[in-house]
Amino acid sequence: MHRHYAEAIADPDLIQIEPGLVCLRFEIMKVRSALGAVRHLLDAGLVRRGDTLVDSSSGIYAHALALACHRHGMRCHIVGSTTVDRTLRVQLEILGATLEQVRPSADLKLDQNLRVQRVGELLLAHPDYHWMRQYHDGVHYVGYRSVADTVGQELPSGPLTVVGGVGTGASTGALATYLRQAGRDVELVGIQPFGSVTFGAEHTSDPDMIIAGIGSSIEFRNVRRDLYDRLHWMAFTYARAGAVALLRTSGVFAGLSAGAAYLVARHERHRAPDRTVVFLSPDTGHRYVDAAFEGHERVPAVDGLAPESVESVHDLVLPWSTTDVVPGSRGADARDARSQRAGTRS
Amino acid sequence: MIPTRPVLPGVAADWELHDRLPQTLSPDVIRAINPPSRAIHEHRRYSWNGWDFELPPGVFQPGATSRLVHSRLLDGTLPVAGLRYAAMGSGLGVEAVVAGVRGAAAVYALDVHPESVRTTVRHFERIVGPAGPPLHPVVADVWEGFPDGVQVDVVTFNPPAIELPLSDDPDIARNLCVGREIAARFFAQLVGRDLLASGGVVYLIVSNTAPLREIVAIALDAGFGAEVVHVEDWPGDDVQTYLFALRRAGTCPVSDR
Ligand SMILES: C[S@@+](CC[C@H](N)C(=O)[O-])C[C@H]1O[C@@H](n2cnc3c(N)ncnc32)[C@H](O)[C@@H]1O
Repeated sequence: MHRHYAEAIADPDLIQIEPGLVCLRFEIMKVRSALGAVRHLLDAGLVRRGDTLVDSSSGIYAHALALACHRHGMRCHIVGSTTVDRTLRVQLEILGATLEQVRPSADLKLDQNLRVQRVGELLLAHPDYHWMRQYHDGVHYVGYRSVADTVGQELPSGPLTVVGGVGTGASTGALATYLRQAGRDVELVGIQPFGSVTFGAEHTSDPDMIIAGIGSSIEFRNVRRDLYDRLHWMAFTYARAGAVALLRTSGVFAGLSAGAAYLVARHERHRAPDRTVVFLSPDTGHRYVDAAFEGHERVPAVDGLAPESVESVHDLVLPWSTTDVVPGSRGADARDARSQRAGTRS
Repeated sequence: MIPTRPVLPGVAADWELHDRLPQTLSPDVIRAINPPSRAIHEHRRYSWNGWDFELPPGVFQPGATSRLVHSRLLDGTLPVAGLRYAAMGSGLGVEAVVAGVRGAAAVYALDVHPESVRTTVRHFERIVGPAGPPLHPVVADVWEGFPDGVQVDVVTFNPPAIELPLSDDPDIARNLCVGREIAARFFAQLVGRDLLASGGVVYLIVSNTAPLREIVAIALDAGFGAEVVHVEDWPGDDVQTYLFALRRAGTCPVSDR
């Protein structure tokens, strides 16, 4: 029996989609991360019960942190934008988390900075507030250790490929780190939307819609680029096809991030049939009914879809590209620097 | 590793300077130079230039590297008078205090650690007082949280750039070992949000206990020119500490305007 709702939904299920292809299906993935983080902060004496945990978020993290605080007897204060949806707002209220809404501007980046500025003011005035920094603080890795243990135990021994949207970097980064520490042969494959700065694709864009939660407009410290072996960039249209196909073949009703991960996982499995491929499904499909599932008859069949293989982010093409040269990783940096400077000196 | 001779001011700039910088020391050497200490969790005192500072737990106690910056702000080698100045990672606030005393037009003190920002405020109020320039204390993650639309002319930064997990202690990690990525975010945001005024300068201090060359490469790639203001070649070991002046390529120094 679970001692709290947050714990009941934190742990994922492993679902075999086809032989060698496994879905790691979460109800709300960030709950696992938030619970682990709050627990760790308490155990390490970095916060005390009753302190206030604060961060800026207008989405899932706010919900996850509110649940983790509820579980551990902490206060929770969220600085969000006025776009926080009603479903989230009422839940936060009833859970006892306080939500402060900063007026949105036309520019997403400015918005994020305004919210952080407000968080900074609160921190200055309240010594009992602790800043969670979900994008930058490595404490968001620790919750995934138990997930890595489960994956390690339940999947047959042998090489693994882990596939997932990169987002803050915590889930994919932590799984790869902990599984590798346990001695597993792990290849880590990250997914990005076009336009994300995380791996240098800010010069591209997706005309349809950005897949929420897997990219970024600022650099995240929790993305440890060296952990990734390969990256894929995927457009909305293909992620949508993936989400529809995943539901059709397996019954798993999941979001666009999972849809993209499913397509990439199929590709990776085909590429290396001796590796078990496990892909992350961070949320359910409910939020995407209108944007993705409605009109499913017109979505392309996934069998014909394949990525364009590119050497550098400058060659990215929609709707799907992949590269082994992970931008910003140390190996790639050295290569870039050598080639660029060789050019300037000749 | 063959010790490289320090690159003196004026000898080389930009990529040529980069190429002459020493490699990062080996992990064992870096660990030996920075032995773990629990002192950070205690309340400490620090005196410098006749001023007394109180350090609450978690606030960084300035070392010799810090003082290379502090004394050059004080003697005017790093000019701040009449300029808008930002102390990145202000710690206990010595740079902010000196800039206040030296007549900066405005002082921004940024730190990710709220107690460090509060400590800076206390010292600034006591030592500089109301006759000095306005102090703007900001809790921020490098520039994340710094107001948009504000520009500064001078920035100093003594970053926690060591790239080894010297300790599991989060206070030690925050003060010393975040690594090159803090420089990457520092420069990306400074340029991306246009926070440095035209003709502005960043004074960055880094040793070869950190990825020195890589950090300079990050600044150069972000469009800065680099020159050495001072290099310290400590007796008894192979540590070299560089104080760089970094200016956006194509802009002229404030004093030449
Ligand atoms: C080596 S100490 C230098 C303190 C002071 N400037 C001095 O020289 O004595 C580094 C400082 O950077 C701060 N710091 C660490 N990470 C930071 C971040 N992401 N953003 C802003 N400040 C940060 C630490 O809290 C610490 O005060």
